[in-house]
Amino acid sequence: MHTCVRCGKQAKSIQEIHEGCPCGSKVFVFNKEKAASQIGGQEEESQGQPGSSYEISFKGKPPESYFARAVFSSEDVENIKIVSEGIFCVDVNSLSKNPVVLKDEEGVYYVKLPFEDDGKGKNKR
Amino acid sequence: MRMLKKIISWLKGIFSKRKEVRIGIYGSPNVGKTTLANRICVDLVGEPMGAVSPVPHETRNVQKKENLVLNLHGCKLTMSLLDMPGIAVKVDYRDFLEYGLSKEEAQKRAREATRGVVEAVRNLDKIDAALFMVDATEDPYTQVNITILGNIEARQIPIILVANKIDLPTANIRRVKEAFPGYDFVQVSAMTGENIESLYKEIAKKLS
Repeated sequence: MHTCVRCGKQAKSIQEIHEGCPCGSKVFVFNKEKAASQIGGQEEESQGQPGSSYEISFKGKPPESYFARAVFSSEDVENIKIVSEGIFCVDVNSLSKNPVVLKDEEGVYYVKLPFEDDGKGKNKR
Repeated sequence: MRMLKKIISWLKGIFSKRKEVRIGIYGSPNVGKTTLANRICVDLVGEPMGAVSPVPHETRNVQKKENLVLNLHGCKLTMSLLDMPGIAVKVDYRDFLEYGLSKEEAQKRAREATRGVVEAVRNLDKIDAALFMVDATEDPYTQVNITILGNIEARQIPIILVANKIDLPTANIRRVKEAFPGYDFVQVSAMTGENIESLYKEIAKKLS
């Protein structure tokens, strides 16, 4: 469940996340709890402006594993997941300590090795 | 007076005693890191460190052997050897399928191997010196070789560049030397033990 950081409205579709909120903002935050309840078929009301209400519509069932994939577990080695085309989920905490690891699909990973000019450890010794 | 000298000598011995040097063995998968680690461990303590396999990413956790004492021509060096998982920029389970692994086993191996890469990179901050291994039969100009060597150098960690597999007819020592000039360089065959004495001499010279 993606919510606009400016007006608080829920994104109606992935397309809207791509193009931006009607209020002009292009920044959305992901709400795991709302996403979970959405999967359970519950309708969620917008936390935005009073009186406004949005319903997520995915034209059929939600994209495969859309919400389940947007959660990190202790088993995960990756810190960036491709949730669906153009949508990524980032584990910021892990990124602060580890190299960038992108999971493309199950069993396929890309690692961005840190470069010496990234500043990490430079002149440490 | 003699007693005082003895005490001073004893104190000097304590304070000048060098702590264990942590040496990390780095390189791409299948360059022979564990084979070299086993060779060193067998030579110094009589037992190997870990399993080797033709399947890439056999070492998926950092293997450690402590209290290895290298005694060479009066030089004594106590070290702990860390055999790092092979570093790769892409880990794909499909590469393991040709070795007879099931899809699930290959995917699990890929996940563990990726975790190993992360662990190896993080351990760059925990080593005192590095043996950077290159397969002399392969093209040395790879992203992993260049990036990891750069990272080690940026941390000002002493490096010994080790060209391995010189027993194979396709080994090209000159190509490795030309790719990475300026590094202390040793060519060995970890498998046969060829020229391994030179590596010990280089370690003793550089670190003791």
